[in-house]
Amino acid sequence: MENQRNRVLVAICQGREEILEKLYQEEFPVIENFVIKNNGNKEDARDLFHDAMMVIFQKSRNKDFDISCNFSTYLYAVCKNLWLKELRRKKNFSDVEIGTEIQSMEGQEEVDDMMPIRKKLFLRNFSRLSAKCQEVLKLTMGGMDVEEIKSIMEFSSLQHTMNRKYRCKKALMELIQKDPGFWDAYS
Amino acid sequence: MINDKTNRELYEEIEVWLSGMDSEDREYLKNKLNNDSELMRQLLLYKDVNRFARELHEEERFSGLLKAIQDKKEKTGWEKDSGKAGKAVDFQSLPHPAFLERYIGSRKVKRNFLLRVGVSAAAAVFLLVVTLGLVFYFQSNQQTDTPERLFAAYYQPYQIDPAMRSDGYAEMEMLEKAFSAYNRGEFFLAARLFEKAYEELLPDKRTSLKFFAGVSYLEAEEEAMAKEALGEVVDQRWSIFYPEAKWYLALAYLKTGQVEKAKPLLEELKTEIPQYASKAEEILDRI
Repeated sequence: MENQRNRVLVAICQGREEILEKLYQEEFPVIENFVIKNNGNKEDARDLFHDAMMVIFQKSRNKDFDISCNFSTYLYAVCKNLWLKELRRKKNFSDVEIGTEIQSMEGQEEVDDMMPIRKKLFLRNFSRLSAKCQEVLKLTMGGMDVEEIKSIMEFSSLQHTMNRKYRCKKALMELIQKDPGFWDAYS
Repeated sequence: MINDKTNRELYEEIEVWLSGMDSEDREYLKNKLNNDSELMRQLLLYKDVNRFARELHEEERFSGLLKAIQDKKEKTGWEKDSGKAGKAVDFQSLPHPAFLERYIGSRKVKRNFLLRVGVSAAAAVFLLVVTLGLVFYFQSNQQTDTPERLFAAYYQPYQIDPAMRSDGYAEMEMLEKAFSAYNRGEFFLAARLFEKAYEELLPDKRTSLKFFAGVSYLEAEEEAMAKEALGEVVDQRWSIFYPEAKWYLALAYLKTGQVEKAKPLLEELKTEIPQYASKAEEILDRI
């Protein structure tokens, strides 16, 4: 059981396509059924499954991350947690009937609250950069070389690409340092 | 709160250390970090920015992969597959992983966009050529233009000759870092390192370094500092970079809208310096 669980986590962490497809094929119907029974539709189920897998992907990067149950149970729990949040968010929340299964999830730790404060600070300021700057930084840190970034972003020259890369990082550093939350996060 | 200048100096130091840290530098950094909480904060931030940007890239790639699988399932009829665990997967219908690896990192670059690009590349190139041709035609036929647009039309980043690096400069570690920073596109850092090297070199090489600092500042969009550095070189008529410094100084003035300061320099370039004469004349005609 443990080996299988670890294998799934490693496959997710590595973005292994064939395992992900198999996982989707086996797990999605369960999640879809759950969402439809709890005031959602197929589209909601798609989004929920996607978001839950993203949460697990983010967590699986942490080498200390482990789960004590089998993967299906864990995925189901994450989906229920996220769906409860979504129901709370909806304006007509009071009209939504929440099943007892969902209610039992209340009080559990919220997924977003586990995000490190520094990453929240980063994301807040990263979103304030221009769309091009965001792409340049992501591609740069994703390991792409300047030639590839120039090609993808359709920049006029390598020099211009390098210049943009420098200016974008500098702008982000300055935005973060001016953020009121900077001193809390880095003191 | 520290001021901007201090921020920049710290950022510059971190860049130098991280770009090529030997054991001596590492020890120096360690000691400095122990006594300088501000530097520690900056170093942590720098590392976090790199790490979180990389994580974002990975997350978007993973998200793209999931969406591709979901799309594929919708197209091939998810309903029929529901609940049939273990059914063979049709890998042929999925995009090739290498293809995804290369492009899916961007939210904006969707799969259908990529396919569209593949199909209509020739048309796009044709349209681009026609558009650029029209832009060039209209630009070249304009009688007057704003200084900023003239700057954009004539400015080309200065290419530092690699031979320079073996021309008596290479022995200086700081200068090596400066050339390296310039080549990486870290222009503000390069400018600061050229300035530092300028302070420590013999007079016969000083104006060259000032010129390099000037063009680096210009690339880093620090026009005031660029004008100051390039102006110093222009004051030294015997400098081998005198013509280039005058050209870039004129462009720097155009970039900041100071036409009256750019004009005399362009007039001098037109009459004194053959390599820039025709371009200077064109700009003067269009101002």
